[in-house]
Amino acid sequence: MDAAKLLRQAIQAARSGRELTARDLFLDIVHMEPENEIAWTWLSGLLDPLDDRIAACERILSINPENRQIRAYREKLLVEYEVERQRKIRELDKEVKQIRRFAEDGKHEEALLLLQNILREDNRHKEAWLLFADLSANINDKVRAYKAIVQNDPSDKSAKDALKRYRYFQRNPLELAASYEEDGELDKAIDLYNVLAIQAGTTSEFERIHRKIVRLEDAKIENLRHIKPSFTILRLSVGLPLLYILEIFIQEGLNPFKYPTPGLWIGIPLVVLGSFLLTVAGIRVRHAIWRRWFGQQGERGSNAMRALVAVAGWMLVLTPHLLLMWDSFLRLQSFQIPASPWGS
Amino acid sequence: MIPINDTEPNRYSWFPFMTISIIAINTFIEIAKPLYLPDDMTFLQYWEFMMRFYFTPKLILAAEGPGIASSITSVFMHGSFFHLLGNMGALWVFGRRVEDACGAWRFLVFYLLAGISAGLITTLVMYNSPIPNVGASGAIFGVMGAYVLLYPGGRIRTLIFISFVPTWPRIRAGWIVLYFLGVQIIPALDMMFNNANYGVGYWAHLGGFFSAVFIFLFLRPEAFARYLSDTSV
Repeated sequence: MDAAKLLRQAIQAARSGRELTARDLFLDIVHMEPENEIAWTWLSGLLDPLDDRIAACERILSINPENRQIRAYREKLLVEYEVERQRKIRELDKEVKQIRRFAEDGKHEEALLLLQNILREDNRHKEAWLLFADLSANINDKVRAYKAIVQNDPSDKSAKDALKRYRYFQRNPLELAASYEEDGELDKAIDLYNVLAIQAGTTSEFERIHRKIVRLEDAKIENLRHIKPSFTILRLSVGLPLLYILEIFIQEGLNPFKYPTPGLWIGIPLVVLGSFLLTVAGIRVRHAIWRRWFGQQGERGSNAMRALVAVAGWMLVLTPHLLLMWDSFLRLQSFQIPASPWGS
Repeated sequence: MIPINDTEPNRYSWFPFMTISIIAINTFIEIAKPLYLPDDMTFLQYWEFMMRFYFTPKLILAAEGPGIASSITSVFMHGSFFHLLGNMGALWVFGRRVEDACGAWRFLVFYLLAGISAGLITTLVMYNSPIPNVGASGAIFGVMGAYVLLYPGGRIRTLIFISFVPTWPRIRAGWIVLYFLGVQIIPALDMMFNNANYGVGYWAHLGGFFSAVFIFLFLRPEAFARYLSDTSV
């Protein structure tokens, strides 16, 4: 049957209220004649989802850019589409919030299933992707989630950083497990270590991972309290500056106003920084300096970087101490030894 | 009452590198001291030695002499060979597991902090004293205090003579430390109020002991988590 005859039948069907038949016929026509403006015009009113109607309008405008009626109609559809989209987003936001509460109750698997449904409906929903990335223990899922967020909004810097980090973790899954451990998510860490133990290539690698699993299981049995890495770094950074301040205090006769040596006080920030660097290099916890200064996406630092930072830390700590010892040495040079209270 | 050994094993590390190093340094200094001092040494020469390497409260307060350098060197000085033996024995008994809970380098910093704090307390209390002091015992008392804080249930194999008969029961560390602390208090107060001179740095011992609270700044993350979780460190 030729297109003109089909067109007549389709218009007749549309006018007599047989919309589905008419829509199928018009679709056949545009299949045969993709540039048929009349068929596309009818379709722009008959298609069901708003975005299909908008697509039909855009097709008409590409065939005939002068079609003002269709242009105005497309504008109207776009407004409707936006209103509809906002309403949908609000609904989905509500659903995501509910799912988050669900996940907080420990029902991770169910929450993930519900999230996947939402994402099938709207794969641009950022909150849903973020929650999905957070809940899924699978590193590939996390990469997929952040990839989608970046695709939808290429200007989202934090998502880009997260994507980079998780791609790094894809290549170094042991570090991801260690991160879970640091965040106190022992179950997640054990699950991942178990997967990695199965995938281990050598016996020694398997044993290394197995030891970590045993250590974490022991920690779970002991019910160890989780301490934030930032607090640990702060706590361990205090000791050396405290020692240095005590030393200056003694050097100044316990009275910095009477016997001031400002040169030694300048050493305090150096010791504080040095102590911080030594702590960060000495304990295997995440810190942003590894990413910012050395581009280490896992935020943990390789052994070589740690050694480098430790050397810098020691230098910063030892330099003020050496100056302090030099001050002591100079004082000793001019020291008049007092007489013994017991005579000679 | 002589503490001999802590029978519990280490949890985090197998070798107490820093404890043994500190014992070695102290022993070396005690052996090297006669080599440094002349054979026909006069009391004046020994006095000059003490003024340089021991800390003297009056000099510290007047900001005279070597200052902090003498506070640090005094942490590695002993009055006699038996003084060294007693201190290093206690360091071995109590230091091994404290080092295990901290890690070697942090343990060294804690040890110095305890020793220097001991000197500071002595200076504050005996502010007018021209007598030079050694400070190793203060650091050892700091280690003992830290041990009791970290391992309150720890038991120490201790040599006790009952009517000249030796026995070596395992006694709770708390009782041992309480005993050693108890024998410091009366002479310390006597020194403070009556200017008594026992030739022993009782205030340094007490100062070192109370500086043990700083141990929490040096514990490994796992040991600190265990301490907060009320499980064995």
